[in-house]
Amino acid sequence: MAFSTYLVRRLAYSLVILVGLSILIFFIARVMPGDPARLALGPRAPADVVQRWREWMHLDEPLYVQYYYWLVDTFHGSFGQSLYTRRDVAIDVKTFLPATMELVLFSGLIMGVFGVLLGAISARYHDTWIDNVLRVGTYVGVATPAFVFAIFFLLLFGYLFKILPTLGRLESTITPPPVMTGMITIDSLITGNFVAFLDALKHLLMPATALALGPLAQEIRITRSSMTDNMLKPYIAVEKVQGIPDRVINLKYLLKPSLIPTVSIMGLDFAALLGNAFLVEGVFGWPGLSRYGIQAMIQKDLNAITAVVLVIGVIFITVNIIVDMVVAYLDPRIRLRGRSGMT
Amino acid sequence: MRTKVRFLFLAVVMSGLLFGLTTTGLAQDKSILRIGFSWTTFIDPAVASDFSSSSAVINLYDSLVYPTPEGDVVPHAAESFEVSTDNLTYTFKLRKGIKFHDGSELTAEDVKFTMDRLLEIGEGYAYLYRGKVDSAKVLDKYTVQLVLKQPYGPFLASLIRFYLMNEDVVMANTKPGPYGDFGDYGKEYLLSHDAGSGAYMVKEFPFEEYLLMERFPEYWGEVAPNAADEVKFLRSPDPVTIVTMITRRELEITDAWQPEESYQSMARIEGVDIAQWVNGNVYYLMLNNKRPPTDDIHFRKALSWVLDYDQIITTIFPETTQAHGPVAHVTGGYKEGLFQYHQDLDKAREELQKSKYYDQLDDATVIFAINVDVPALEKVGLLFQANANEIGVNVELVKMPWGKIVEVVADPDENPHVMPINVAPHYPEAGSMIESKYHSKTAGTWEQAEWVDSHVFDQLINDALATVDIEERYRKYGLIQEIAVELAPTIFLFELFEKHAYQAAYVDWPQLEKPIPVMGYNNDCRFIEVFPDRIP
Repeated sequence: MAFSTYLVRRLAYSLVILVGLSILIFFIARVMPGDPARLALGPRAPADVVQRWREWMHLDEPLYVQYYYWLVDTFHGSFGQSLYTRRDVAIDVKTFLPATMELVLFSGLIMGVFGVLLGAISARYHDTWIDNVLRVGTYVGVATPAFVFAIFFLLLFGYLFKILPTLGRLESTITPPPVMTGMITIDSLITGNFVAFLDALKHLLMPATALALGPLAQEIRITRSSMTDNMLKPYIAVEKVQGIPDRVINLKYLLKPSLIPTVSIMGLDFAALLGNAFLVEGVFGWPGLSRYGIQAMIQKDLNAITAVVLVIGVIFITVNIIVDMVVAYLDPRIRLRGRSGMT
Repeated sequence: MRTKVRFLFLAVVMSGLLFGLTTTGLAQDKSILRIGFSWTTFIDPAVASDFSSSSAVINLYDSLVYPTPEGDVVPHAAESFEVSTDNLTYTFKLRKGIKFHDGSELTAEDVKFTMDRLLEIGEGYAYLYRGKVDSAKVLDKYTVQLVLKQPYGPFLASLIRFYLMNEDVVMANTKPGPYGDFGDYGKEYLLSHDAGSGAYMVKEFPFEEYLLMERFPEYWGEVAPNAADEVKFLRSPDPVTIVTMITRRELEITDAWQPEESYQSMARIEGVDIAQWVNGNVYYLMLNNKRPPTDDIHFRKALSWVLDYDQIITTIFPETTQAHGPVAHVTGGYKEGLFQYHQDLDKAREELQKSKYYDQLDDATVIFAINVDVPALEKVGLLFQANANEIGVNVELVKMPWGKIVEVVADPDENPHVMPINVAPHYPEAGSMIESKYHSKTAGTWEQAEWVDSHVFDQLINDALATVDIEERYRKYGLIQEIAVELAPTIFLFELFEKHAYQAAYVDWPQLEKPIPVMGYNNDCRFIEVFPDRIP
């Protein structure tokens, strides 16, 4: 089976998964306790007003009819009205997703670069004091929740040294770049607004690092473990005997195959960052989709819950497909298996 | 050579970043007042009703009347008003020359439009007028009549929640919606824009982050000389971030929901004070009057006698005061000298023996609901459980999310026996609290988990609310409060206070001297002065 066929099949499976996910979350959200219309309108809203809301949102229809309306809306680019923000959920997603994506991408960058780099260093100097320090650090990283790092950074760089901003994405005194991607760092770079870029970077530094440290520790451990395993394999010994320089062996023949498990886990970690981002978004007042999703759940905002879960699902699936492609690039066996017609 | 070039490039990039990291933003040339709020904030007067939304519309819009610290109202956008002899028609003369933010003049047509819109939409504070206001009539450009269906005593007081809108702006921004020819009545537009004449107008409103307002230069009313040029309502982040922002002078006034340790920490910061006042809210243990065993008056009285109130007001909610009945002492029409329960186990046992459930105590477990979002309530629950056990009453604590609470109170059979919830007055009169707590039309909402559902109570409340003479109305409020205490449908816990940390060194907050006991009015920012040159 050619890789392109494999990719098409993965995309088809993904579509089925997304439909399944939408049905699941749609029905779960609706069996949660609480009347969403009453929650949105408060205790004193007259019964006829509450009823009008129910009818307007089809809440008085059977669940399968509600799902039908939701599907129709979704195909028309709308996720229905949010009870929490009182506007189309599609607008909310468009507003809040870029902030979370920016945070998560920056965290992913930190996680990817430093995870591999420190993992390789740890493996290269395994069982030395450098390795030991890094390993202890990774234990701390894995065991500590992101919000603890967030609060620690806030106290250190916000409260004590006062060198990093504490709230939001940009100082109010700085003119934001025109919205293109919604990610301020990228939009400001595109428009050459370097003042905004630097300021957005300053705002990103603490939340992104706090979010990245947990998975980063995991990547370090996996990279180290994979590299130290591969170090003992005969092909490395042969390459050493042949006189190939250590630098080439480490980078080309050791690191590249060792990255396969790291990249696989990184894909899952990256997607998990989306779900965990609310812990950090709350501390730094980051107006992201994760925090919006939590609020939606508290308010029993049915359409918002469904949309947020679905959007995270799409990102999760996309990231996993990308990871599969990267792994195929790193592992020739997968490509060769495709060419020889093996499944 | 290549290594040197790389090193040089790296050095330039790093120093650039370092410069960026250590310099702060550009200097602010306008004075700004930043206040934290729990979110969401709606600035449409036909939708707004919570704390942040009420505070916002007070700054963006004008009302016909304005509340005083004494619980009374004075003319505001209305220059004067007259009440007909049958107490059904209120005629308001508007001030001339009040400008909306688009420069047009506020007229009687706008007042009529605002009332029609509010009654049709039915959200926010509309319940204060729905079923009471029959129509709004324009007599001339500056004269408008509001005609009631039946006499309604607190009508003038309730008009502090009637915020006047610019008809032209609203109608120019409608979209298709559920209100027939009016489409969505401008609701989508008003999510992020205002249509008011208030001292401040919307400058930016990124919905989930903040509401930035700027001074309206043509405002007709009183504005303090050093009122802030810009006011920013911020969505409050986590408490540790709030403390950091107060330390860095990035926030002038916190929200009212900070943990006690945060207040203590902020009080130690130079130039920061803690302001607090009783705001009319009362915390209750609402007893389900429809479900055995709390449907029995003696059982309810036994529970009222058994609770250790001192523990609650000194340890769990320190510095609060025990409530005397359903109304806070700062609210107009509060009845002084009401009987107040205290812990007395003998009297509790005595009442329990009179109860029809005395012989069935083993089967009569009392369910005490705890809102999982308010950790302190678990302590109240545990205390209540321990106290009740002393007289042989079993109490089971059940944790519920807010959504579940809203659902279960709607059904008297599902509704737990004891529900701790606080309720706020919607206008500065006891009638608001009494109606919320004991009128049958509010039974089954979270404001009345008691399910009193009494024809007698309804008649008394309707009669009091229909009484126009204020002294007579207050007397009737007093009688209802006495009956409420006597029947013990509720355990009256304590009067809540609103508590904020603020930058006393450079912010003058005159409302603190005489707080207005109505939600949001102490955040009318045209009276709050900011002195940037006094920042420590």
